[in-house]
Amino acid sequence: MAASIVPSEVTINDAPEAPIARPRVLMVGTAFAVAAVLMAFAGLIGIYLTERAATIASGNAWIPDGVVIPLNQPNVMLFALLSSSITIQWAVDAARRDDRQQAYLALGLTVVFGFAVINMAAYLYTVMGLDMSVASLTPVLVYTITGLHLVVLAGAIVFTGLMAFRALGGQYTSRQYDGLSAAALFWHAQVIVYVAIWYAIYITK
Amino acid sequence: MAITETPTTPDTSDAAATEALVGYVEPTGLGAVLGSGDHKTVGRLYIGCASIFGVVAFALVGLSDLQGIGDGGTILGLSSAFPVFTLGQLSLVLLVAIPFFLGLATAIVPLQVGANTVAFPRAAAGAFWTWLVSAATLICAYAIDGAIGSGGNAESQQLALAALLGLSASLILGSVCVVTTVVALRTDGMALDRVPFFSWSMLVAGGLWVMTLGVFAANVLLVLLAVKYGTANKYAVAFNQWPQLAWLVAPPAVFTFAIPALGIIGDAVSTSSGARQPRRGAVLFGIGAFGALSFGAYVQPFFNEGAWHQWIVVGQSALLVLPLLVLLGGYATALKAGKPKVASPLALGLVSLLLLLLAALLAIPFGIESLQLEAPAESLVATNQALREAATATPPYLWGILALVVSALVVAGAAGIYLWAPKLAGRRLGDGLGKLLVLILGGGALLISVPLVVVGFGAKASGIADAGDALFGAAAAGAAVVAFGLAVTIAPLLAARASVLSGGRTDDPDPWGTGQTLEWLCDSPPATGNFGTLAPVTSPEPLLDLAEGGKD
Repeated sequence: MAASIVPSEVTINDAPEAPIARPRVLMVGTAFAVAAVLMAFAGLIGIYLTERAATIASGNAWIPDGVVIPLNQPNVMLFALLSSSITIQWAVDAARRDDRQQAYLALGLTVVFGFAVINMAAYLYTVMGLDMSVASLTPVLVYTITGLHLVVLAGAIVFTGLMAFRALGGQYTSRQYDGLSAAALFWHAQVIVYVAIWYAIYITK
Repeated sequence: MAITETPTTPDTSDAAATEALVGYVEPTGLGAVLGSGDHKTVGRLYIGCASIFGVVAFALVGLSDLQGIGDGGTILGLSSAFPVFTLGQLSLVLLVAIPFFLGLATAIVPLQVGANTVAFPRAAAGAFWTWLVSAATLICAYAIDGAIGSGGNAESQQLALAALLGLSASLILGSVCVVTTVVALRTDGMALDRVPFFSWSMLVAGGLWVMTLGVFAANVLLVLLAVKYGTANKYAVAFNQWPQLAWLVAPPAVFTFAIPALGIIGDAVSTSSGARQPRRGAVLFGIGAFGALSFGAYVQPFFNEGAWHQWIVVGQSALLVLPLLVLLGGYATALKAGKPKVASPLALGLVSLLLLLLAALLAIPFGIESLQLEAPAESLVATNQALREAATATPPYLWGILALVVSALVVAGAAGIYLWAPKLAGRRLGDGLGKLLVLILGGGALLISVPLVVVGFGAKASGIADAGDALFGAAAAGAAVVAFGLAVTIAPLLAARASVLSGGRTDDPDPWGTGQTLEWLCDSPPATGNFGTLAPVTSPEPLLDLAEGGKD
């Protein structure tokens, strides 16, 4: 006969527990970190657009001779990142519903999408053939902006991975899933940054 | 009774966890300092290190000013003049102003909002140590020919730029911890409009620092990659490097670093007057408006020629004066409503406010193109290569404004140290020396800045160039006075802390007797965990509620 794990004097109340009043510290901290990241990209993209406009206005070509900026890879990266935004929000929703299996699946997919984007970006760099040593401003600006985005994406993967381990440890439930929400906020922010990069660099060229 | 106080014991869960560690020995001595995540310890470390860097930075500024005398290069030699100049300017902001206030906030803000700790205490400690290592790296890189924009050793320059990235990242992280404390760790009943003035100012400042330093880090990264990969474009050219970064030490961005001073002044006024601040909302609005109008990360003349003279920047500079006038009026009403004791925090705070007002007024004409304040007189720079190089992106007029702002911050910082010494060290500091500091620091602030501002008018007034040597000499003397004043400010705090640690006397929780906010409820110095159980606060001045006999 299996032993009962519930002492006989304990009664189980069917009524759901009231949500705990939590300060959402991690969410607030992440929001401010996101502000710093967004401002860094705002500054860099602002410089990129200013320099591009000045170069074109002076009658010179913005993209150096022999350089090709294809659209296939950037478009695939955009699609992957938009998909990852959906999957990470799926993870948050699954945690909110106490559906841990779906949460693990969604977090795993999100991280895979992230690595796929890094892989595709590395391939894109080889295709573009931008030479940093030339006098043109384009290569250094493109590499600075896109490279910084990859660094931020790597940070987002680490952040999401850490939160995934905490979820595996059972720290996040329907009553407390702020860590996942914070990771999702950071993830969405870097996706928004990529959308801006996609338009400013890959579309307008 | 609006507030109940219980003995300040460690948090229950912390105590239970400690008991569970069999054989656990509480670290003492150096181990307790190096491994501490306690916000008071981290805050003290910030304040101490920033003050030491401050003495060095003002000494560097003084040496830079001396280069303006004669044909330049007579003191340091031409090869050292520009590195000393850029290191001095960067240090004033990244090694002194921001970390000093960050330290004060890390120590005091959790006490003011009724929190047991700063948000993310390990991150706050990590931010401090990263900042310290980055600061040391920057200085070392400069020492091995790595000055930004000097055209020296390329690898050393990369090290210096990487150190700037480290400084930016650590200060952003430290700001996030403080701001999150204000937003998310306030005690029950403390709505945002009830937080003390210093905490409110740190909320405004931290938010703006996060954004400003984010942009600055991006600029540094661009230069770093251009130098690292040997790019043959304008970003990597030696004499273009400093102009890309100099916006951080120029108006309006430089006023961003002054925001916490306004909060310190507010708390000093409240504590001295003993009365509730009339029209408190206007004071909070004034601090917020000053913050909004000081945002200047978009004013980058290297990428946007003539940015200083655009109408939006000139208008922003002009409007910046208004919040300061609002605050001056607001604080005057508080002093009128109470019976103020003229103690050193109040005197230092008011002098700081007046200095900031002067700096804001002086920033207005800089945007007027016809005054030609961007460049010193030709007769001054014609034979002085050191001055010519230094004035390329940062004209002497701006040296004066930066020096005035940071000196005003030192005065406000001194006000904060004298006000909160019971919480930082364990007891109050001698008020006589504090009042003497009003003269030393106030006089030094004027001496270091006004001559440089006058030099800035050299292009319009021919006689000024003739007095150039005397003016630069006076500014150098002013820098020495401020450096001395800063050393005199921090020394008594360190002495008091050492005395308390060795068993010396400590003060009551509220040695002023007129404290209004929660930091004056906890011990001096605060015990681990700061507070016991706090009842919900019902006004911005919970201690006055308590004194008035339970008014809710």
